[in-house]
Amino acid sequence: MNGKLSISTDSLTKHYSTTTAVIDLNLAIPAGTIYGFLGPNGAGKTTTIRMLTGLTMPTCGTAKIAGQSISDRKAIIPHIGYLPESPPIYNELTAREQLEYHGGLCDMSLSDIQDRISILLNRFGLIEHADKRISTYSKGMRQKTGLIQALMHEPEVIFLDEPTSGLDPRAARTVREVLIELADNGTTVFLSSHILPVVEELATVVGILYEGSLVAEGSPDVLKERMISSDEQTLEDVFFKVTTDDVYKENESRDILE
Amino acid sequence: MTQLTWLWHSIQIARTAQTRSWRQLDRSPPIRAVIAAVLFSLSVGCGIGAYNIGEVIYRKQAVLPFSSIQAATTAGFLMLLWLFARRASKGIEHINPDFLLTTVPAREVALGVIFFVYSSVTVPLSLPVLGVAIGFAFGTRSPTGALTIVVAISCLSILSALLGIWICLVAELLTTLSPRVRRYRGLLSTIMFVLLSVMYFAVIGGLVPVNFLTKWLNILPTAWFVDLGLLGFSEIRSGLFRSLGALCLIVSGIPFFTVMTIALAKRVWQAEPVNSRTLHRSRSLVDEGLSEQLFSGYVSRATLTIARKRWLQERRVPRGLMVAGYILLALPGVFLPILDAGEIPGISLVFFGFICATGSGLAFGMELLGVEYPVLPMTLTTIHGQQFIRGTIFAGVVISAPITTVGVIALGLGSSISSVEVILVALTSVVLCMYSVTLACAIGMGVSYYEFRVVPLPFTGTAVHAEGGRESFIRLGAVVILLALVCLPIFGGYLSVISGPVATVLDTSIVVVRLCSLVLTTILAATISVPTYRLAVKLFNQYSIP
Repeated sequence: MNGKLSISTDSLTKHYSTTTAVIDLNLAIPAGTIYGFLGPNGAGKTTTIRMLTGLTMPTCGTAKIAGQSISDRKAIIPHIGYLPESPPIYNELTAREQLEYHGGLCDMSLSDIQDRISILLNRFGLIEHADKRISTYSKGMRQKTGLIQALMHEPEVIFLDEPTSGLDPRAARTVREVLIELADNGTTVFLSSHILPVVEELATVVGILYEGSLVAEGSPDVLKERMISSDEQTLEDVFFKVTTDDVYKENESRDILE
Repeated sequence: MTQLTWLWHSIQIARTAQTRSWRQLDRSPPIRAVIAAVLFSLSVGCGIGAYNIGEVIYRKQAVLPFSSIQAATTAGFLMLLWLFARRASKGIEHINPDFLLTTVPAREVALGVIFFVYSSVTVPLSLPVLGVAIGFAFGTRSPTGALTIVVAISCLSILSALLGIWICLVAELLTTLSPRVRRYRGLLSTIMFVLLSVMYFAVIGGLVPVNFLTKWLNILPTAWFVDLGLLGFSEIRSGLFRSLGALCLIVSGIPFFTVMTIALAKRVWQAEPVNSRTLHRSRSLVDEGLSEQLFSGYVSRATLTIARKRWLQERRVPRGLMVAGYILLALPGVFLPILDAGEIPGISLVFFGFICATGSGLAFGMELLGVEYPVLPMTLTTIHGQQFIRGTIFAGVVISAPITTVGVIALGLGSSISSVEVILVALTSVVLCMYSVTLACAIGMGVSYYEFRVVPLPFTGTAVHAEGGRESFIRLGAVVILLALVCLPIFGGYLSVISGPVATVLDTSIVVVRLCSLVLTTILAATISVPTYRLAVKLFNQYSIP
């Protein structure tokens, strides 16, 4: 991990008519971090990722990805990889065609495309099925294809929305190993997940979003230490503690007083 | 548990599916009320019309066109057959047999499918049919006739439903068992659509005599149902033997096809799909293929990859071809002037170029977001607008330019205009193709992410993402109109009623007027393409996913 910020946001806010999806989000994530982004359903995690990837414009506030403003999608796309909750793949293509398509769009050279596809398909155990149509794939195989697609062009920042969803234990372990390797090589991983043990194992920093606000942030160990009760030890306990209305209101009033 | 529990289960399956279907339509109560009012008015109108016809026949002021009604009945039967087959395909998916088969016996599910498909097609039609039957019976002063008409139409529709569902199930079974059939199903359907369109134009163009067609439609057993329907009318003589033939068809056909359909449905649901691995293979989108060799020095890899992916998609699911199928409706604009003049006039060449340009715009530009929809988050976070729009335009122009050029030149060989002019028309048409795809891209990029929904692609058995509602037709119309506006100079130049007076006023020949119109159109199309392209790029770069 080095001091250069890969992701930084300043009061990032998103309103949908009368609903506030994200409010005053401030993040400062250095390169090489695995940032575990947690929150209950509807907390604003996907909206945040969509703003950070330039897919949705914020109502107010700013953010930078690899030093580029998110308001200029053209500037940030060479630096990012993105796996949404539903993998963006075509049913009528095979996995190899889909990955070649993505590699071609990223302007990778032919040899790079073929090498990376071969390495990643092998690593995720998908090589035998690479020439079958995606329409015949299981949920896990689709997820693997989407994940390889997000990684194959070796971006500086990777946004992953539930990357281990639907994966068998072996594939889930491969994902964990790959993410650790990526972070070791300086890639920033923005990991949104509901599988708390995975986040606890991988993340160097965890941020918990609740009703659009960041209610807790820090390394998993620091967050666990903050808990008052001694029997609450896991990240799951922290999650439940900070994502209840009472604690949220308590934090909010404390912020106002400060 | 009574003996009819199985029937009750089937009815319940159909009713639940029907309720879900109505709710999916997402119609508000006022719209439903309007639909009901329109249907009621239509039924009353049909009844009054039928009453008047019946009265005219009763007073012997006219004779019932028996032969035409028989031909129309057979044509109606074929249409119903097609409608039921299509609805069955959607109905089986809608009814979710996987869940039901773990709850009730397959026979009950199959019967539920039959009831659902039959009711979903016939319920909206039943009121107008009743109106016609009652109106005609009272007009001819033969109340029993209403009963025979209703019986004949009901039985014919039941037969067509059973046969339609059976055909759909046969297709399902074949595609489950044979990857080869599965692969060519979409293509065969497209070819059939084109053939039917050609047949339609052959009939309206007078190439196939209507009498010949009517004669064949009258021979089929479905025409016997007209005799059965008119059996209750004392004033009209109908064939007793043909009526008996229809009754025999009903008595034997309905149980036979019900049993066959149920048996086939069980077979389809239990069939093991054959592994398609041997037939699937990857077609590289980046290797040194023909397109790479031809264009790699001129277009970027990203642009070429977009185009190659689009061609591959089109090869597997001919979505663009289906959208471009609308232009077949405009084909009379090419061949009617030829039939009228006895030779190939210049306007036919120009109109052919216009049709090709429209087709390429609709095929490649209009649906650019719909085609990309499943991967839009990836596309938007991987490339920028220039690459995407260029790739789409390139995909369209590379396909449409050779087809347009060859078509125009082939037509030009049979016309009296000079070869230089033919080549100029071809060149103008290619520029129009480029303009059309660019225009369609700009218009197609205006569809909001919210507007897309999954819709079945006709004839192909696949579902795609597309903009729903009338807005899609408005966009389609906008492409055609804006393209036609740019083409006004050449249409004017090649219509003698316009080019003649213009030549006289300018004191020049008609050929010069035509050539000037070609140049003007080319300049217009090329010039307007630039801001249109910029608009499309801007819309892509600003496109957001909520």
